[in-house]
Amino acid sequence: MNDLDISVVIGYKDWGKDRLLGAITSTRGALGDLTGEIIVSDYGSVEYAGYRSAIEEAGAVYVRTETNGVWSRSRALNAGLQHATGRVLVTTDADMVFSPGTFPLVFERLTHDPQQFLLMQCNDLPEGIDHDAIERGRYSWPELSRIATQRPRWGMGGMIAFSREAYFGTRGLDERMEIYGGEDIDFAHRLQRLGLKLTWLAEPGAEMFHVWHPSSRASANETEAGRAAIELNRQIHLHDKTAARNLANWQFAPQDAPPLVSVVISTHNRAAYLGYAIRSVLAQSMPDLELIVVDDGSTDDTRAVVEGFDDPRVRYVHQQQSGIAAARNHATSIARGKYIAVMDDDDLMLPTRLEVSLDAIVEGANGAYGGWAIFREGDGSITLEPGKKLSLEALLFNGAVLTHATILIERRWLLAVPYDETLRSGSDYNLAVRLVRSGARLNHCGQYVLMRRLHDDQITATDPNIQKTSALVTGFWARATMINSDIVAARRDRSTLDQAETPPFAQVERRVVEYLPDDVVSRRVLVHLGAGTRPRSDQVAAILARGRGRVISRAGADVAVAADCEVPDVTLDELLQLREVFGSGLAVETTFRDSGRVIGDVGLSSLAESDWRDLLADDATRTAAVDDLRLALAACAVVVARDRAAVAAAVPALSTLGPVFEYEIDSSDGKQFAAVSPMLGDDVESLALETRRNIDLGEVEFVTISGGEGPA
Amino acid sequence: MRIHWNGRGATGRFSIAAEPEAYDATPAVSDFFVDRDMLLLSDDVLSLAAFLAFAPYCSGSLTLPRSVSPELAQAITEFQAPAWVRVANVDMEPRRAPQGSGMALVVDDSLTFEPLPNTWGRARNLAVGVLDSASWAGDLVGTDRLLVASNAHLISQIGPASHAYLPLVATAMLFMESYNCSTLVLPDDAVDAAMWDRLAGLVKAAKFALLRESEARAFLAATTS
Repeated sequence: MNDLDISVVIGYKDWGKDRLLGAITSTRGALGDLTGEIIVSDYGSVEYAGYRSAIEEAGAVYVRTETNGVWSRSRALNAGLQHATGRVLVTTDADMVFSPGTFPLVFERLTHDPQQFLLMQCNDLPEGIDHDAIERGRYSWPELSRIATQRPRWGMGGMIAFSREAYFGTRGLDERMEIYGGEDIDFAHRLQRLGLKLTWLAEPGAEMFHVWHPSSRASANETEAGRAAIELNRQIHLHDKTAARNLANWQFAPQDAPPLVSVVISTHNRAAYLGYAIRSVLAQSMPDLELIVVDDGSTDDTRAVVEGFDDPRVRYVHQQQSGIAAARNHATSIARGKYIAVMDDDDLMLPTRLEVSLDAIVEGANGAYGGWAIFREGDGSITLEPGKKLSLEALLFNGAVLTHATILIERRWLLAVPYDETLRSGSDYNLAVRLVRSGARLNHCGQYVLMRRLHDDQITATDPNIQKTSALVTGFWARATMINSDIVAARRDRSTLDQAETPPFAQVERRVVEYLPDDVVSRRVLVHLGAGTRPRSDQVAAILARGRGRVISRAGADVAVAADCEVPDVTLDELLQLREVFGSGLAVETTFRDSGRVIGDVGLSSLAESDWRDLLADDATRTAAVDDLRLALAACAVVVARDRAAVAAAVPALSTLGPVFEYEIDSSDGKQFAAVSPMLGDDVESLALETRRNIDLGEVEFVTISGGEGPA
Repeated sequence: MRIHWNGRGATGRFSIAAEPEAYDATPAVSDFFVDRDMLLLSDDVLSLAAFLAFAPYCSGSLTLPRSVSPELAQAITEFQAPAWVRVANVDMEPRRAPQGSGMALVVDDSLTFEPLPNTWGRARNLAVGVLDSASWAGDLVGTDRLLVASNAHLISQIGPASHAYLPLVATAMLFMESYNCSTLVLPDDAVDAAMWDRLAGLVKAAKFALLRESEARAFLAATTS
């Protein structure tokens, strides 16, 4: 990776081959002596036969993405950038022409100062001058320059150049955006938010021309879908002020992209709690993370607990006991994420913690934090701490401003302002004060993000004097610049000045009680099969197999596409596993064991009818949903035989019931073949009889299985 | 970029804040703090210190805390090239140059250093120790040295390496007039040769001189013996 100077990516759908080849020739000419590649990203063109060979013969890389037919310039460029290996990345269009020497200048500028991104002003060529005419030399570059008219300097789709590292920081163009319009300006603004200045490349000998064609923007405006897409893009650009996007799923992530967030847990002899903490991290709705567990000299089962997680995102590091500050600093030194999320070994992250924290990093903030719910072991009583707006005055003269394990902050800040390793306790408060004195800005995300466990083995319980002394010293030091009148003023109205807006208790309680310990609550979970976006494991399959399935939607008369699976007696560990796969596609009913009080409702799907229509339209979701039916449907019809052809002959009859799944079965007496279809109706017996009648039972065996028996 | 002088804040610290505009990058740190007050007479000096703290992030229009002389505006444009920067608030009226003739040595986050020598009857020289405000708070003032906490050190660490010394220079520059200094002195290895030339143009436009530490000590030794 990164062995080339520059990668130029052209995204397109349904462009003529000649124009593409012309663009490749022009771009290649503008690369000069650089080692570079041109990547042509075909985002679902209807006609594409012969394009790959022609494009590759012209010296470019051809990347094709199968789509549902909707053009998205954002996704097309991301699909191309996914394969790019250059240190400098450029995106452009097939209707652009660059004068010779352009890209060496781009490369030189970005190498000299990577804290910028480059744009070029577009020069419109008149109708009649195409790629072919330029390549044949019918016009000299000075002639083209004279005849072209200049566009205003906003709207930057023509060319944008940036470093590879900057691209990773953005997590690509926004993949929600459809067709085109606004995605380029949105991307540019996000680069600025990441600390890159905008530079217009305006040098003699480096010019960009646009080859005339009928306005595609005008044609996009002619359809309702086109207008809706342009409006959607506009709304995203206007209202989403974050830098990093595609949080839940970066569809076209490059292989060498580092994780966006490094979650850091330092631990010492907390094996009993640590597994839950890890599960809660892996169940985050923003999955692009690494989890670094620094074992600070544990003598219990900590290593076994961590290594029991078969997930490449988990990194275990053991060190001789050096204290929590040293352990956290070590984690910072080996972390790869742009951000570090601090986590304690005895707490649980709520599933959207990382996502809502990243969403709150706007307007120059360096990180975010949120409220926390304190639960007491034993009785499960919950106290909410919303947190407060962060300032030096708040830290010095108000309590419960933030809890350290809710902080998510740029890694570079923790490299510059590390934990004070001489403090045995209170290094977290000390760090918060030092960060704020250094100018760090952390935004409150407006949500509760953490379940904080209250138990007898906490430092506040075991080491209160040292912690208080540490806080006292830190506070005294940080007030050094304040005179008496400053302190008097700083103490005034703190409850008003520092107030952070968070949801009310009733709303939060409903969301957090499901994470109370198993000895406090029991749970029933309704899983929306098909909602999952991540691979299922055998453990998750086993959990679902305990459940009772029901189909809640059909596509037309034949194919079931989505189902619910209700699973009783779900443990906390199992719940977190289900969250990891199905995200918000769960409804949980929690019952307090002592009082019998019930919170939540699994009786109804929380998805509206419109959501189901969305599922129907999505092939990937349909496949996932149907796959899950194997595990969870109420009843199935099964045809088994030693002859594959005989089973195939029975498939049409089975398919009148619903989707048919075919299996090869290796048993002790040889290979068998099976076809299985769920029976999706109230009168299962009638369905079975009707199906049986349409199958030649001389060749195959026909059986039915009832629900809850797991995989056929 | 719009850069404001905030003066003394609620916690007794002095700050300069940057607000990005159309072409600017969002600064890694948007507030530049120093932990004590200073005597500021020249608008150019304050504005140059403000620019130095946020230079890597500036592109396009630049509004400084005070209107600046045309020569400083021109020097800033040249310093920032090939990126294009235009200073928005330029005052064409000639103005008084900062007074003084002493030297001010910039020292990076150290409590122990050798100050510049001071001799009976000669201009007073100063050493400004810029301490990391993540470790130190407040200031310590002597007649030949000033130790002051600032987040300049943090801005240096988080920003691009090529510009790392500039926030420290900005801190020292804020106190030069308080000590009647007119020559800024940097450790010999503080910046590379290319940055030295660019920085010299800026300092000169603010009517100060710029010397390397070895040059300054040699000059003082030669002229006081």
